This record gives sequence, C-alpha cells and structure tokens, in this order.
Amino acid sequence: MRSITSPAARSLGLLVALLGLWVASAAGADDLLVECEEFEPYGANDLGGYEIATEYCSGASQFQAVFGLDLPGEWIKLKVTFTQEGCYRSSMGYQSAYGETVDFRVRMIDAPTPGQEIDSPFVFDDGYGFG
Amino acid sequence: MNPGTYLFIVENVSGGLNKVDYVEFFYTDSPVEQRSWGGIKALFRDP
Repeated sequence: MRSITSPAARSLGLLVALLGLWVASAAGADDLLVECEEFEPYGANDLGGYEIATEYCSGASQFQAVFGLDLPGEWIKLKVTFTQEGCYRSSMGYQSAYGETVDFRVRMIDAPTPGQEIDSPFVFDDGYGFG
Repeated sequence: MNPGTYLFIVENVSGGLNKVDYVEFFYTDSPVEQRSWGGIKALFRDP
C-alpha cells in the first residue's frame, strides 16, 4: 500500500480537510443553542415544590443546569434571535430522576419589547420527550 | 420563524424532578418544510 509522503500532497490533503471543516461549520451557522441558565433576566413561573434555580451539574453544558421545574405548569422564559426566515426544529437537553418520566414543551411567544408579550401567529409547540 | 428576537418558555407538562440544560434550534430547509413555511405565511399574512 502506498502512502502520500510528498509535502505538496500532504498540504493539499490538509487544505481539503480544512475546507471540509469550514463547510461543516458554515452549514451549522443557523443552529442556535440557548442555555437554560440564562432564564433569570426573563423570569420563571414557580408554583411551589423545589425552587427554580441554576445549579452545578457535572453532565451539563458549561456545568450548569436549571433545577426545580418539578411541577406541571412551571416554566422558565428564555430569549432567542433568529437571523434567517424559515423553519426550525427544536431539541432539548435535560435529565430526569431515575425511573421518572418528564414531559416538556417548548413554546414560542412573540415579544418585540418587554411588557408587550403578544402570542405570535407563528406559535408552535414542540419538544415533547421522555427521560 | 420570521427573523427577530423571540421569547420562549420551557414548560413542564407532566412529571417530577428534572434538570433542564439547553434548547437548540436547527434550521431546516427540506422541500416539505419550505412548503409548510409557505403555507403558514400565506395563512397568517398581514391584511
């Protein structure tokens, strides 16, 4: 089996690999990730039980997650900015206690300015899942 | 979605203890979704 050993061939291979990485990153430019621990400026609906708060979580991104959404109807509010018109698919990262089933929903609300929250005609419900 | 800044909520529908970490939105442009988006825009277009 022959291997590519010439410097020019190796440089070309590296260039192709870098181009591939650039294309992959460009394709993901419209993917938006919102950390749940960013909810505090926007509010939460705490109906009781455990207090809704950010806490350390070794398995979470940035080692932080939101604890306390333990009762149905409780929610946290977050912000996202879309730069491109079109359809988006949502996905959530969360965990439940062992053996427990939790059902979540992500609901978009249109809020052009604080204090003027208006249900958007483009509302969608998504994100049902079990953990 | 139209371009812009939106607030959204992550809501517990049923169940108990949990930790929520992140929400991610993926742009999708398959023909089916493009048609769906066209239909939504036509349905809710400004008068």
